[in-house]
Amino acid sequence: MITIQNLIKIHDNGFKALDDINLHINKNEFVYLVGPSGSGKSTLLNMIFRAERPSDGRILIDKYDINKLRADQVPHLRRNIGVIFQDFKLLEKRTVYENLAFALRVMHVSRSSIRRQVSQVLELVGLHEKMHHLPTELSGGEQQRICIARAIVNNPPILLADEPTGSLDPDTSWEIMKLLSKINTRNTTVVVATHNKSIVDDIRKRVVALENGKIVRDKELGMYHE
Amino acid sequence: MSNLIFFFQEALIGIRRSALMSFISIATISLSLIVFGIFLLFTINIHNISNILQSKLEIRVYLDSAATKKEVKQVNKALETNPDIVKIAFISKKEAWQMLKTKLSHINIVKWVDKNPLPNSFNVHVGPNANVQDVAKKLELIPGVSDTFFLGDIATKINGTIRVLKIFGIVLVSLLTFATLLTIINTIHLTVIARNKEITIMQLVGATDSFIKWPFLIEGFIFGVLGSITSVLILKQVVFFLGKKLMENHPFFPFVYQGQMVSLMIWSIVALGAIMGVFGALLSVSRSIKSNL
Repeated sequence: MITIQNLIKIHDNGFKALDDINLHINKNEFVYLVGPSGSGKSTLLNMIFRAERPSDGRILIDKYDINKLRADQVPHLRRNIGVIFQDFKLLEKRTVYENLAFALRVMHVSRSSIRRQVSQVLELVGLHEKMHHLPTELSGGEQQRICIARAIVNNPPILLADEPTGSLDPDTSWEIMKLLSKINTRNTTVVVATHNKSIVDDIRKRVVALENGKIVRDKELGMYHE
Repeated sequence: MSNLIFFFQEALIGIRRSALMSFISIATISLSLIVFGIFLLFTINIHNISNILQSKLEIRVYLDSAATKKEVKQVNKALETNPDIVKIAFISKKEAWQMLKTKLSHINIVKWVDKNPLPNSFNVHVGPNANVQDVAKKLELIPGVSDTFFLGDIATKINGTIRVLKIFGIVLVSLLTFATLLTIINTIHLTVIARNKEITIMQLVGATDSFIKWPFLIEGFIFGVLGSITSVLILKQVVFFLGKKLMENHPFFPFVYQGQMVSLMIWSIVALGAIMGVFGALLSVSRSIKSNL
């Protein structure tokens, strides 16, 4: 599904964020990217949905080299990759419904389908009754669930999450991770960058550990630390 | 079509949800266009006054009272071939007498002068680049011409002043057009920058560039049109009021405050607002899209 080959990212200031990354993620797999801050987790995720470009190397999604896509093809790539952010990135002046509907509208989904899909996904994340609230009227956990709902509302094959529990309390974090596991069982490949040790250790999945931009460990059903 | 409706809805949502910012933008555009409009009107008036004054740059060429028809024709030919003369009108002694009688009807001139004392004459207009005095001197040398009359030195001086004023007006309006364009573009730019995060989010969920741009372009258009219409409404009130007052107190002052030129001015202001609104939005949103992701 996702193949990363000899990926290198050197920032403009000379900092080497990623150093020769090689990684293969299978369809429907659930992978944790772990490592300290600055280890390159977020940069790697950004590369996968082309928010950043590599200095060298390739990223293949379903055999397509995403860095060879023309600028006008990038939106189509992004429609196939749901992304969840630590800071949620919701449109603050729009209701929950409008936030989700917008993600579908850009794909030219019909109004009736939008209503149906938004309703279904809000049911899945358990926030159907908050449909007409503004994001600012919701708690952090609720906002994160809306962000997840937006990321999966069009059933993308890939879901990327960058520190999805970073700003949440332990109970809420647990709920969010359970939700991501549930989404994974619906045939979605999930990649989660986190440094939430207890969650990685409790919900055991494949763990890819990064340090100084290099993969230092890659283990099925791994733990946060070796 | 459904997309266009959607883009319009998005634009209106954008304006409504950033009501204060929208209001400030429209007010800024409106104010800058008011200043622009005032100076445009000023220049239109300078041009108008200059045209009127220039039409006064005329020389009356009096013919000998004994001049024959043939001589009159010869004078006419000489005037026609003079490159400094742009317009010639023959005024027969009869016509001149009639005009004078009408002009002085309140003193009943016929009572005092029983016979037409006026000679045949030509009224000639001199081109803006000619020296009236020099032209008049040359005309006096034509056989059959007895005398010439013109406003003298003052006409030449006015001619020079007019030219300076015209150039000044054109330079001023050009500079101000440029300043207004920059103000409008910058105002729209600020509204787009304020919503940069929104643009990033749109990109993240897979919106194409044109899908992101359209609502902003429509918004820019609406800002431009509303700003310019507001400015035109205010300008019209102020200028109409001033114009009326001025005409009441100085009935002979040729102040232009309505008519074709002013309509043209109004439409150019509205067009300027609309075009610059769209252009400003296009510039800013394209930059945001490029720099974000």
